[in-house]
Amino acid sequence: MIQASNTIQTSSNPTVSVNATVSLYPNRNAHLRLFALWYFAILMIAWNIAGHTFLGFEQSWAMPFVAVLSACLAQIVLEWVDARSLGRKPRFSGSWLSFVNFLPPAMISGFACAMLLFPNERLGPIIFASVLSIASKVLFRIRLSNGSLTHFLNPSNFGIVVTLLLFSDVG
Amino acid sequence: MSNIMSKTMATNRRVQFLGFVLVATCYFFARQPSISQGERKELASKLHFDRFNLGVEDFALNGLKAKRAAHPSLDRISAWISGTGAAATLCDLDLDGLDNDLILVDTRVDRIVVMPVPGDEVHSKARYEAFALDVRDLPMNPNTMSPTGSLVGDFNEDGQADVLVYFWGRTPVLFLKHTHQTQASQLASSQFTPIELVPELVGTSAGRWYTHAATQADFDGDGHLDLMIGNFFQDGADILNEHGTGIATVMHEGKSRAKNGGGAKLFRWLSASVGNQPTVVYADQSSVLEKHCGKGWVLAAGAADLDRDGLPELYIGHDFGPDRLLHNRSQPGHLEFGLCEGVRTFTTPRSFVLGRDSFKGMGVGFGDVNGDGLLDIFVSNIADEWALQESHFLWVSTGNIDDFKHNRAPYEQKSEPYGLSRSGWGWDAVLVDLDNDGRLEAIQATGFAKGVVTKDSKLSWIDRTLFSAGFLQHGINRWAELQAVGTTNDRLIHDPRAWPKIQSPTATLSGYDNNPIYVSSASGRYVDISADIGMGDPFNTRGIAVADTDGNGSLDFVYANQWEPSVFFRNSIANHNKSLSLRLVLPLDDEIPFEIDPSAESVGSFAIGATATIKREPKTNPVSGTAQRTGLVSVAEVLSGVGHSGHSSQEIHFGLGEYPNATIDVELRWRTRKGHLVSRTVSIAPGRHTILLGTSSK
Repeated sequence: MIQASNTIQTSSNPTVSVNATVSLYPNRNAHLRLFALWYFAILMIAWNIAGHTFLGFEQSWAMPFVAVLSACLAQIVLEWVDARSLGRKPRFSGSWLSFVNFLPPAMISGFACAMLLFPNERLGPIIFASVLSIASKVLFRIRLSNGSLTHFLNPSNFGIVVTLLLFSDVG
Repeated sequence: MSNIMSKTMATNRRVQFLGFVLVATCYFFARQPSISQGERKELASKLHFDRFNLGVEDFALNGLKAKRAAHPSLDRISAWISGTGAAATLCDLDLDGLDNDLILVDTRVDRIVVMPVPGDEVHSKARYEAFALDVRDLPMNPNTMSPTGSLVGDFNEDGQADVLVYFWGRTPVLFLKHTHQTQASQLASSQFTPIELVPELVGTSAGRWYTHAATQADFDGDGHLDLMIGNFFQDGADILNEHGTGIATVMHEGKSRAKNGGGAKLFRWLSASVGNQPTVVYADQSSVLEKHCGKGWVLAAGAADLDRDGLPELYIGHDFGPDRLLHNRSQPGHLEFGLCEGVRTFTTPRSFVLGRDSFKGMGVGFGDVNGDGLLDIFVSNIADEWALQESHFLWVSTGNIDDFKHNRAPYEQKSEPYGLSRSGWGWDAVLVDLDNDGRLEAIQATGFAKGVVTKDSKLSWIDRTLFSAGFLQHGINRWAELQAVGTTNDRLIHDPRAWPKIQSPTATLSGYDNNPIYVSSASGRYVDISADIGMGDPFNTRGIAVADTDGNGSLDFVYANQWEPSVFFRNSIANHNKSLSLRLVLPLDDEIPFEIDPSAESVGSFAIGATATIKREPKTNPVSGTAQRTGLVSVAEVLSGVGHSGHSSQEIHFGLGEYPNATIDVELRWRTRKGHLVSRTVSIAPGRHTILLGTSSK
């Protein structure tokens, strides 16, 4: 069980943003979460570059770019609205660094959608999958015992599965 | 606390609503365009066909077969081995002026049957009895050899239509039709003399060929027709030998660049003789192709003059390897090709570059889709839902034909905007105008293994349970196993023992797909209306042969089906559209007058490679979306042996729509028997015409 805590430890470093998932990391260490996200994001970038240059990924070069861009935009818009309505500052605001550190989750989902789906030459289903991945984080949330909300689905997996079910022409 | 809770609840709702709107918007824009029921009905009303099953069961020697007899080492993939062989060619063997003779390979019968097309209302009774072509004295072991298709042409240049039959298990045989036969006597097997195409390989293990494509064209421009023969398995493989030992063959050396198949072979015409012992001799010049293609696993081929320089280019469809487009740079007597590849841009998927694809290349058809006076290329791959989503190709010409000289293929892959990307496990792909409205329809053969489970089937307990519960009516879907092949290490799949079990007769692989019949909708996208016109049956088709068999100006066609009866469809459209059908006949002697609808009986053969170009009324092409006006010029070429196993008529056919004028200008271009390129523009009335391509000015 996750121990309840009325206050989430905010890091002294303002560039390390804090959200509900941090409470799932050892010692609620926001740095560990950030490390994990960047580690995975960099892995995905390397994997995509290798895939498109010599591993023979079928998708066009445009797909990872479009997917990551649409996932990032969706995440920014949703966070902005979420923060505004809660009267807090968006997690990407403050500094250049906090903006950059806000992006890895969207990058991971975008890259995953762009490499695991083959929608012929169409970009539409890739944009849909990426946006749905990110939106699933606000559409399907549970309340932790500390009162904060967190998503419980794997975003990109959800986006990919739903896209495959809705678009029978996507392979 | 409760205050904070209710506030987060409210904001949660707001963000959720926004998230939903974003997703819904993206979904709306990501959908495929569709057409209204009304438009679908209207499109379907344009076409109607009467169907006739092609009964050849009487020709079976030992009952009807349901699968290939195969080498023991291939037993685990017996359904895969049994996947091909059905073939059909429509032609005019009895020289009655109509392409109403059908050469059918029905795999259940496993012989080559020649028959008049059924429902022939021109004649009160059948013109001749159907007969099987027999190789007579040539070596033929029915236990290791099976016919897989035919190609019709005048190989020994005597004005008679001869038949080349190709096989699994041996080299092709040429059936040369006798010259002395009079028109009055009925067509019969005795009128054909079988001779070997490659006599030096007869009886050798290297002579065990597994041919799946044959096309003819005058590749070197010397006035004589050369042959391209495309083989699938390695020459010398022992596929059909039930009593074989060891391993029958090495399979593909990889899934995307396999070059260890049979390869495309090229035979240059050298000499021929006519009479009672007719002969024709070719020189094997396969190395000219192997230089560019390696030994691919050929499933389809087609030759057509794509750059309008008078020499035919060659498109070769390869299984498990890139297709090949070869630009013809030959001189008379000296064959030479240049390999052309497309260009990739930021938005081009990897395989959508001509010559760089990893798709399966199983059928090829030519037609001027965008109306720019250059032929476009329609290619079948595997594109089946919940199975394997490659994409069929529609290589649309860019018009920059000079690119050919720089080894660039001037084609863009546009199957997606044209709506031709996916249908099933594709084979023959043809572009023809079925309703004579001036726009090409597309028909595609689909299907692979049509599994059947019965009470007596050997089943695992789990399949037995499923069958008892009413499932498995359409066989056991083996796509999961085939997908496992797709994820197998490339270094393993060359060994048939590393393949998963895909066995006849229970295995199903895309076997119940319908053959799409695509009609161009108002938006310019093609829409499959096969089910709407009562032709949505799950035919398991390999070849499509098209011809105007009754001479009424509309095109009929045959589906050559695998392990089930093949079907003939007679076109019975009722509309006011006109058409122009041209039989371009090359006389035996160049020095006779050019003549339209010659009164006397003219001896000659189809002028393969000749082109006809017409100008149409201006129309905007909705697909290209740009200001480009298309449909202005249409070109058609006398082609022979294009595709996988269905070979169409050598007549040229244009749909003209409701053409208001009395005559139409047609620019004809052909190569004479002496090898000279000649062109001539004629003004003729719509309808059917025979044109004798003499060069004498008298």
